[in-house]
Amino acid sequence: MGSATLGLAQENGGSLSGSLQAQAKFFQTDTLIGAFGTPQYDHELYGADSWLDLNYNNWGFDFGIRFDVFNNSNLLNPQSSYTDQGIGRWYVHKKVDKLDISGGYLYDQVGSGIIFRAYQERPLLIDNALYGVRLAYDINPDWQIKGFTGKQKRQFDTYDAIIKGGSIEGFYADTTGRFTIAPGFGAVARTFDDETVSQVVSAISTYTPVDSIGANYNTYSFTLYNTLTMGNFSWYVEGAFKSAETMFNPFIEKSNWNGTTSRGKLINQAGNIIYTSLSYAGNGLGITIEGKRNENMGYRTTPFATLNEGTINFLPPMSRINTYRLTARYAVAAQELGEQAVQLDVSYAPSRKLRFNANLSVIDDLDGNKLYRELFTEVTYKYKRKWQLTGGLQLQNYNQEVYEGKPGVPFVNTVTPYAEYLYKFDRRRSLRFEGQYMNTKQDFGSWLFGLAEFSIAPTWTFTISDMYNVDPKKTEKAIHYPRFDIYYTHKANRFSLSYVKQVEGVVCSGGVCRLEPAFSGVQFGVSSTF
Amino acid sequence: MRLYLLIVLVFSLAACEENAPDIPPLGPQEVGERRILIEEFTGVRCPNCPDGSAEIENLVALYGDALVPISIHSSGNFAIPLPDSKYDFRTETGDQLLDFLGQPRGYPAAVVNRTLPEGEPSLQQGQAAWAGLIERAVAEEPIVAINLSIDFDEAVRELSVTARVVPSQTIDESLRLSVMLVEDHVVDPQITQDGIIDEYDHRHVFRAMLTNTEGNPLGDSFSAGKTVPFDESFSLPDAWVAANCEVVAFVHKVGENKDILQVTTAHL
Repeated sequence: MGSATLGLAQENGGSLSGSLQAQAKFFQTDTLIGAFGTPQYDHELYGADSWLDLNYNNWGFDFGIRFDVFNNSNLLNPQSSYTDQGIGRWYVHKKVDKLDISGGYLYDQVGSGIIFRAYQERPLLIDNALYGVRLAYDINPDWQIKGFTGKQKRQFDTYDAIIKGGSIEGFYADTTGRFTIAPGFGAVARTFDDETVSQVVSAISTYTPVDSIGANYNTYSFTLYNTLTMGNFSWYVEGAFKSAETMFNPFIEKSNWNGTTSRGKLINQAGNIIYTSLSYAGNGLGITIEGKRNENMGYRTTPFATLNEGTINFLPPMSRINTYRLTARYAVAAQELGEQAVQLDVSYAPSRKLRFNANLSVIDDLDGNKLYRELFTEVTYKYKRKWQLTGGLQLQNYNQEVYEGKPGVPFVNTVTPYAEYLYKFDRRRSLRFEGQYMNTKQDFGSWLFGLAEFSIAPTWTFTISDMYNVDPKKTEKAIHYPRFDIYYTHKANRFSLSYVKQVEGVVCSGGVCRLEPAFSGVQFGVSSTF
Repeated sequence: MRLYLLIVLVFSLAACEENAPDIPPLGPQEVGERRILIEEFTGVRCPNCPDGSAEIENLVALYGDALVPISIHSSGNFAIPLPDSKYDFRTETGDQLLDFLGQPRGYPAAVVNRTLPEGEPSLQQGQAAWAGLIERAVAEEPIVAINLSIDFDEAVRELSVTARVVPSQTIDESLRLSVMLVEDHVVDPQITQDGIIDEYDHRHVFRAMLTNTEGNPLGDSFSAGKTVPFDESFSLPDAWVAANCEVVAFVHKVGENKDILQVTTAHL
């Protein structure tokens, strides 16, 4: 991905701005790493994705339109090829006195998003925009009420379910200045369309009497949330409830007409979630402790949607978002059917030169079965503006069976020491090294990763890296996964050219994850803002 | 004022009690004239697929001969034989069918009667959707009949297939005939959610097509009662148990709409 900026002149009081994000992939079959068997490797050989945004503001209006192109894309389904193009988004926005009016494809959320979040994650081709109308009204400078109704976007179409809801949010500051609160209440309802209910009824009518359930057109969800800030402390708490919803549970036992049992059936159950976060920041010390428990909090436009499709809400992840290649290898997504989790993050900077960080994640299912444990530590030392050294250790227990849907595989236990060294020759030129070693006896076995990056700011960056399966458990030979990148930035344009061998793994973006197959080939990216 | 707004908000969403849909229990069905094809895509390394296969057997128990299942072992890495596998169920034609019908987003996955569900972008549907799609498709009246007869010479293992497609009404669109050969009850290892089962009973295994992958053209318009013939012969490999083999023939549309109009079967 890359980027360019060109400020367009404002004429007649209006302004036009926009951005382009595009990437092209050239696929090279590599049976050794499992990069084969999809149409892109078999015969298409090339794929591309592009988003061109244009925004225009004038006469007190905001207009926006986005042109999306997907050619033999593997973003929607990593195992398949998706080709389509068209207007991916348009919107109109106008504020009339205290009334805020928006129409078109809208991105919005209620509270932290646990009952409603319309959002976009391009790396996973999630675009859950609400195609509808949104009204917000400023009751006073501190309180706002909003309501919305529409359908959820589905590529260049929409799902048929109707989503409507609203919220009231406010802010109150104690007159003595000791504390502030930011409370809110939201409600969202989803109504299945007749076709979906008809399919649900047809499906349930085939169940044996013991599994037969009722079904609803409507599911209602309510959330109450507040942020209390007092001195150096900040406390966020949100609790939500969802009425009975017909959803598919792939893990539950179903009785069959031939006397056997199998897993997976529609259920009709209510859901709930409680999430809280308490933070302290001051004197170089930052502490955040989070807790979450959710049960049956999948909320979808249709019970037949799978994976990341048709999700109306967003459940916050309860683990650290790691950035190094190996520490990020086993990432976890929130389990919508149920999980309970706590996370503690402590950072301490005794001086400008030195910073410590430690993070602990504990995630279980609702029966107390272990899903994920992570202990992450990091120390950063800065020497003037000349060099910086970062190092630490990560320990993980990862329930691969649940997170990757691979029944029978053992827990993945990892120990990963890592280090990063940044040396600045002068104001423009710098050299950065990364080294990581993941020790594990499970999955692919142990890994070694090394990276060297030379930058000439603000224009060039050259990166070379290799991920090496030092103790392979899945292949006969130890395999290298090299990668070479060149990034070129000129004003607001950024270009990238990469040669990539990438191992199969979980890819997460914005807290949403999916299992991606191996990749082998060349990638070219452009991003530009203007 | 704020409280009033809150109350209005809540009650506008939840004040009305809905009339929930009536769900009549179905129970095992009488076999009608309309028969439905379900093409399951699976693999011996796919741990979730046996639950899908079990669901298909459940639906066969419910619909009897009205439901015709085929298990196509084509699911990328999932279909690669296990170290102890005696057979490789993969076929080039199976992979072509997967390309033709589209890749699923996950497994278990199946295509029901090659009918695109309303509002769905893909023929491939997850396990939750199959029963509903079958229940609705089976209620439709067939507009073609397929008279299928086979002759199997055990001595030379030569199979002769004769199909006569007979429209019951005028049809002004292109139709095709696909003829498949499946073998039932092939015992070989399979990964399941409970580990590897060495003697797993693989049902309705797709073995070959006697027509083109996308079907043989029958014509572009058809008069009621006018018969369209199809004759083909096939040498059955020695490894296949003839007594467990079945010929599946179906008439379907071509192009964007791939709907199957009728299915029939004949045992060897």
